[in-house]
Amino acid sequence: MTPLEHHADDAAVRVGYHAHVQNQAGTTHAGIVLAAGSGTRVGNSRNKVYLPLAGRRIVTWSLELFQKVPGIGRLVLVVRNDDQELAEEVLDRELPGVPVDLVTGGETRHESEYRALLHLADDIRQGEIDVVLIHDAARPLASVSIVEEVLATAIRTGSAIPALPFEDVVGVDEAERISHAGRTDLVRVQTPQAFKSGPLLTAYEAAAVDGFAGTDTASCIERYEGVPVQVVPGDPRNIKVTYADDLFTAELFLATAGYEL
Amino acid sequence: MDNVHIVVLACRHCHGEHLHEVTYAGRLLAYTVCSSCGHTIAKDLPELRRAYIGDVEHRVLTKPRRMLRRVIRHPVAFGLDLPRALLVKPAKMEAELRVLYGRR
Repeated sequence: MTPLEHHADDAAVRVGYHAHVQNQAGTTHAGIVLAAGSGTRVGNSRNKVYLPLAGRRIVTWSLELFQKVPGIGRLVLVVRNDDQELAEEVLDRELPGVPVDLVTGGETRHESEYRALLHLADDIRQGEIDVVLIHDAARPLASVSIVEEVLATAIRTGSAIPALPFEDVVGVDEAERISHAGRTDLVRVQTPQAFKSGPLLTAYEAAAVDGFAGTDTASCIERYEGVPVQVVPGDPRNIKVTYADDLFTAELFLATAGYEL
Repeated sequence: MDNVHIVVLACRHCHGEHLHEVTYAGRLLAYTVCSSCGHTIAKDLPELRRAYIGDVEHRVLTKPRRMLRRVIRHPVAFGLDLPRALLVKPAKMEAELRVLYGRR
């Protein structure tokens, strides 16, 4: 057992009654919400994912999204060590009875993902978890339809990430002139992202051996498993709360949608 | 929930990530203030006041159900917290009204 495995096991806390949702093949899908690396913290400031948004915390919207999708039977919330108590309190108040596993995250997004995967590793190895979905807690406006789309695509192809076209980007050549030669379309990547659990776990274990830390999940699985990552259309409403005005935008979107995404 | 939260958010005015004060009126966002440059983003006050009335109505109507749920789940904690909750309620309402009618 690696130190990370040990830590992940120690840190895992299961909140609520856990009932696996299994499909006909006896497998389920797992949703991981990353709340450990959301923004900087200064002094006694709070992690932004615990800010209220339309009466509930931002992180609650992100978790509830997975709960609404049939077939997702495991929920994992990756939190900072300091936020453990707050996270338990929020789950108890805002998602009572919903089974959520709490896992302490690492210093980087990659490490947090790895700890969540280690937490699920036994079930993945036993073939009980088919697809793992990974979502940023700071994206409270992702819709059920986008989750269903990435899930269905990952079941078919092995992986799926939602993305939007980067329409205002152009290439320049050596002489600083606009050039379309050799152009490949750039996209802005969103979450939730979905991957077949076996190759994902294998990729992260290989990365741990090499000391490789990918900037995102897709880079790690592409590097170690050679799995081409399938892009599906993203949603412009699926914003990441980064700027102060994003909070107002998110609240407006939720109100416009009747608080149902 | 408290009505003022301190979090780090990015500021479009002075750029970079800084502490922000995020203030709510009940469950509604009221305004944010960047601690670095003072840049404030605020909802239109008459609109916020209208929305607040609707929100209070909803909170009042759903209160019995929320209290019942808490009694069932955590009867002891509910009983212990109730006196304090009743005592601080007027101050909480006053803080909300100050956001709506006080000087910013």
